[in-house]
Amino acid sequence: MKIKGISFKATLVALLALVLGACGSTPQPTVNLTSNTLADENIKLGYVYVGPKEKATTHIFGAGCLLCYGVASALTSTLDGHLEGTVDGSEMNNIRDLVFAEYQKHNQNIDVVTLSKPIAKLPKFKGELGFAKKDFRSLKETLGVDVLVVLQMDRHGAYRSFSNYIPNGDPQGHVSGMLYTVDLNTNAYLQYLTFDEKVQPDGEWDEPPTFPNLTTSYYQAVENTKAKLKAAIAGAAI
Amino acid sequence: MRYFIALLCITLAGCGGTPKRDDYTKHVNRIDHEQFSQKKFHFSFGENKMVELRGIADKDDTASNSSILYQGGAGFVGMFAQIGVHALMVDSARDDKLAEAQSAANFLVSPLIARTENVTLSSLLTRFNESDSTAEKGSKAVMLKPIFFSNAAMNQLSLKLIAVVPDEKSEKSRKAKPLYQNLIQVYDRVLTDDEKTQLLSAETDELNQVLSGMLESAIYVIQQDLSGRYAKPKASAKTFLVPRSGKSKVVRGKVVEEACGYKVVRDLRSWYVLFKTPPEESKTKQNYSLFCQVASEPA
Repeated sequence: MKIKGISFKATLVALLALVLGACGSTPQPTVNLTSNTLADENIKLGYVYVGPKEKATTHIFGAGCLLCYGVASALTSTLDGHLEGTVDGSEMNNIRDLVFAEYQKHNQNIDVVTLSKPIAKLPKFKGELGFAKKDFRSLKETLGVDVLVVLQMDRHGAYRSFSNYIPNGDPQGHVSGMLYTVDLNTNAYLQYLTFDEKVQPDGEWDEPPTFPNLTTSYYQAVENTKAKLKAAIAGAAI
Repeated sequence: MRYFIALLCITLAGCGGTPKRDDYTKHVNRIDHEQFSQKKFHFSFGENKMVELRGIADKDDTASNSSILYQGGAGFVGMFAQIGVHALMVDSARDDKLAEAQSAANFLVSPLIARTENVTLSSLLTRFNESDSTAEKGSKAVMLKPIFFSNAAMNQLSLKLIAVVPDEKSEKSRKAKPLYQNLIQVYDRVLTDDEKTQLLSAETDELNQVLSGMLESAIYVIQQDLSGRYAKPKASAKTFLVPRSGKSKVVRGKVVEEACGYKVVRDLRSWYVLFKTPPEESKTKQNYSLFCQVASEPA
């Protein structure tokens, strides 16, 4: 089959190469916050917190088929019930407050701001590495700030890795997300940090109904995240 | 199909268990506190006569993804056999990973291990005496198994002490359950460079003193618990941070005792964790252990 003289096979290969080229783009590396970047008192900072979409639960990775995922979910269902029932969002709020307080040490001129639409709905920005993928610049006028600090919590609870049906290990206490700061004049990152804490329970994990080891490892993951964020905002090496 | 999933779940729940460890135990408490008043407290190290010191190893035994292509035409039994083989491969990889991590951690603290090779546990006791026999008249001996740990930098030592009171009545039965079983953790403070040098020096007795302080503090905690002095606190569980060199260790639980700048916390597993309270950091020897309180009590 030929489309305007080009074979179907060649078109398919070209399309596949384009798709894979996009998938294989270089991920944004960590951008460290330098201590004097925000020291200017005339700079106004806005702070946005985006909480996790789900309640604390077990996040399953590697269960590569529908049946595998069903089996994995069944294996962790009691733990899910425990996490959803006992772990509330208070620790996430503590992390939120810690980031705000640490940024206040750099610049007192920081306020919590509310976005009129989700970050995902902002227009795309075509920049190199070191620039945000969404165009935040329009927020300079609407929010009246020069720099936007975003703390995005993606997942919290437990993490369990599978090879299809088989668990690769025990569930681990888990917190993940990212912290980034965007200069609204240039859309450049002043800070970019992802965190993905996984803490192995100290001993057996499968101890229903309270899962003491897994619960402790969740709180350890929270504290590790706090320490990492605190060090990153203070400008210390991570 | 649902029977298949149920069977698969049961099989996998059995296969994917946590590897057994000798520094871990579940809390059991079926004792009569009256039997363990302080005068009747006896303990024994049993067969564990020598000091055992290990490096702190990474306990993350998660194996890397192992892809396996299941043969679809093998039938119902064949499918289970293939999944069983896959599970065994993953379990074996997890055990290997743990063993390698422990071996590497021990290598890093080998100077300390070498210094403790010929030290007996009884030589570390200054305030307590080990019972000659495992059971004395009118009292039950507590069997103790201590394991000391050091971080890779060798500037912080810790102890895990497993205490068991066997139930003589059910000892012969297959599902013998002890009368009491618990784990006590003691964390020494982070040492300065000078203190670390002293600890490693063969010319000083610093290492034995630190081990002795931790061991006797743990025995003290066991004694308090067995005699019923640690009532269950009504307060809700809180997060406590144990200072470590590097990341702080989280202990989630309730305080049962606070003395000499130390806290004893009953954690979510009902283990007791003893550590130095960070703001009251004190380097004086007399404040080292909880025995500043015990020593002041009349005999």
